[in-house]
Amino acid sequence: MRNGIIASTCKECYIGCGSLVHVKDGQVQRITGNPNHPVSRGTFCIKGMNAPLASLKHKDRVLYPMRRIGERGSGKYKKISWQNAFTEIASRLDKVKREFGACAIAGAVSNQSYDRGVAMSLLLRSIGSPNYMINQDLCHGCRVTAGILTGIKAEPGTELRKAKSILVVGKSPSDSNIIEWRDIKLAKKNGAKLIVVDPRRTQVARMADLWLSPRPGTDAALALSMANVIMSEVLLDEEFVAQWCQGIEDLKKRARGYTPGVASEITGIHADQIIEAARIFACEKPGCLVLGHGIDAQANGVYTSIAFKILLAITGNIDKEGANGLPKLLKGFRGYFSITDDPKFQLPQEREKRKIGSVAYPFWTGPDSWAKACHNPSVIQAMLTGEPYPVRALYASGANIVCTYPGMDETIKALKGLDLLVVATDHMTPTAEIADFVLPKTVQLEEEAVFSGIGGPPCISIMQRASAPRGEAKTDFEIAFGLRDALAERDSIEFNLLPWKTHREFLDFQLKDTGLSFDDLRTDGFYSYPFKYEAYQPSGFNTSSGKIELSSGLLENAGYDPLPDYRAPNYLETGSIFNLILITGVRSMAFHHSRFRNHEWARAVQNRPEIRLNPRTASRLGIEEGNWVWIETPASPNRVCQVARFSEDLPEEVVITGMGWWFPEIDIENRGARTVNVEAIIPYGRHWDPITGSAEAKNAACRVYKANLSEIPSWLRNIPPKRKTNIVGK
Amino acid sequence: MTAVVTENCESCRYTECIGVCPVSCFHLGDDRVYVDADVCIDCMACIPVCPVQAIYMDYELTPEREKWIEINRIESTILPGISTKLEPLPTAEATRSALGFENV
Repeated sequence: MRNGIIASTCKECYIGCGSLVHVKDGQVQRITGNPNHPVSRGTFCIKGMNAPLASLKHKDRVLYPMRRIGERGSGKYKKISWQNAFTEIASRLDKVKREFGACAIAGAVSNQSYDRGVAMSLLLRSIGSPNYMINQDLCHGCRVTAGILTGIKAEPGTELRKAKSILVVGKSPSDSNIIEWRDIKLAKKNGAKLIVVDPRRTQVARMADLWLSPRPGTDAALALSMANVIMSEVLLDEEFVAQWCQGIEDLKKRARGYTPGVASEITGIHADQIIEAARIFACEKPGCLVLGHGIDAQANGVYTSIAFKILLAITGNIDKEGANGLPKLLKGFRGYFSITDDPKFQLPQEREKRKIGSVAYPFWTGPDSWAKACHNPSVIQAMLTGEPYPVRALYASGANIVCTYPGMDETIKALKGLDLLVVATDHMTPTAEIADFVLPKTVQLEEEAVFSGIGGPPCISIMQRASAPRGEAKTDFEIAFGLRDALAERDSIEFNLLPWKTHREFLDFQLKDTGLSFDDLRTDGFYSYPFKYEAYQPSGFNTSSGKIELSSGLLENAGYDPLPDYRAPNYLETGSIFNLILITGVRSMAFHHSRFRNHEWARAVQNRPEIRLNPRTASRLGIEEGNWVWIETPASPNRVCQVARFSEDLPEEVVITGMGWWFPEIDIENRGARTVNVEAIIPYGRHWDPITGSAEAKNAACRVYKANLSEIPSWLRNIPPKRKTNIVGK
Repeated sequence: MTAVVTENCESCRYTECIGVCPVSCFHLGDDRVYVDADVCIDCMACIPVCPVQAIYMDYELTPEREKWIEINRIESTILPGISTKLEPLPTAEATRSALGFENV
């Protein structure tokens, strides 16, 4: 298209806002929100308007397949042809497979519900390996697993703006989910009562009728206490509970131990506030629950999620107008979940059972799990130790795991010790710089895809191609096809699970039973369809009992406690000099995990990694705003340095930081990540969620102290606090 | 919750803010701009790019600047919306300099 507006969908994070791509003289000029999109309704963010353009036009874009010629990590590469890349990679994968077996080949991908997840899982399965890693053990994993274990797979989605009460837990939607943020503001304007649970006074907390600031990691006690109040004051929806919930008596018994007084002791929240929150949520109906990343990635993540989700069930706030809704999927549409769940696309069970982590974490890895991915830290250990069996090759698509997985030293060591590391990416990262082969990947504006939102809003959207792929970039599917064909020539494809020839054929396959074609969707960019509330009528919920299981049968059968419970956070055991609590992974509008550090627009928002702390804490520690400080945890011999920023919005014992930092512009090993990125001091494990195996990457005990300027490397000291340029789309 | 344009915008109107706003929530006055609080998504992208530090979040306003919340609300309902960056006003450089901000 030379001139015009293309209706598309943003995929720079997981939300999928409708977008309009403005094209003039064949060039993308700018991207704006699509006011007609039924879910996002014109809402858009700075990532969406800038990142796709900046990635497309980036001066350092990876444009050709490359083979490493220097040491691992040196970043020295030589351009090669796609044919040579496929042939050489296939030959080395084949060698690993013959020597160590198919399971020794693993994959890594993030945000797997996009096409890249299907391409990754089916390529690996075709080779015969069940092992691919996703990043969602650290975000989203505990929440969705809680939904599967209880049947409460209910998300606020498009109902949020119609709610009369809203409970937001561990989430700052103005930083991470702009649709939810706008809908919360709208609901509030229409009189909804807003309760926010977060140790930080976030923007949504400022707007709240009731802001509850628990000690980090104690949220489950709060939720159980709210359940206690709702049940003891008989504010529950008795009809709904009688007909659709099982285990209410067991829950009552469990919640009895969490009176507001007890929960107040644990959480630090005043008992009256707990009672008030419970009464608001039970009486102001309909109500929505918005659970955030803040309660994932901790050692009690799943039970914390279950404890909050149960509040939806006992108040009857399930799949009604203005309450959290069950998924409303388009009949016949095949997305990541329906494809990877389909036995036709799965490995034989005995092979699936060899998946790393399947013994310890069946609800993360197993056939009934949400993710079906392997357990990442166990895979890293398998690379390092050969236990339970060797993993010798990794294909990573996009994921910059050096910067995003906790335990950075071990990740780097594991990757450097592999027989083969292949990274497909649009820009060089600290992970790509260790790779033996770097493959050029298309970016959003060069791709076509069909997207169905995670929360199940009644809509599917498409991503449309607005620009021809630069250089020799290929999509995830095209790369997977190339590898499949080269492996097939060596008899290294065991299962025919990637049956398409072109990316377009795959899109047609996704839509063929919906009665729609990709072309049908081009004009609007989306298709919305009618749906019914109370979708559980008449056949029940998606559990073995057909009811919401307040006491989970799946958990009980697997030998776990079937009921949610509070478990004291691990930092309480530490004490001594590590007397601050470090919350990591705090979201920013400018970044998505480790991404956009190479974009001018994002670095204009934040140019250096920052740790935020209360000015009174800082004063006690002799730290001034803007000082470089060291951060240490008892779990790691390392320390990292970041810039101190003051915030009155934090409790005195809590310090917070983001994640994923590296400096593309600094030409040293791992681009400085090892010096500043918090994953270098957080271990991938030590404390786990017992159900998902999610590592506790939040709520770590830590100490923070002022650095001598002489200890800070000069390249870091020289990075200016702020950048100001004309940065839109750069 | 919203971003609020305050007095420093007057006679400057650099409109860097309009270039970075993802939701086109700015409205154009003769010598300055205003934010529509109902459209603003509080992403704060406009705050650091303003050459004269004219934009604040509503909760960060000093008491003498709180009047700007209401002024922005009223003016944005009357004035036309704007989604494309403009040239600064001819008086912009002199105003910026008089306000004590460096040319970045």
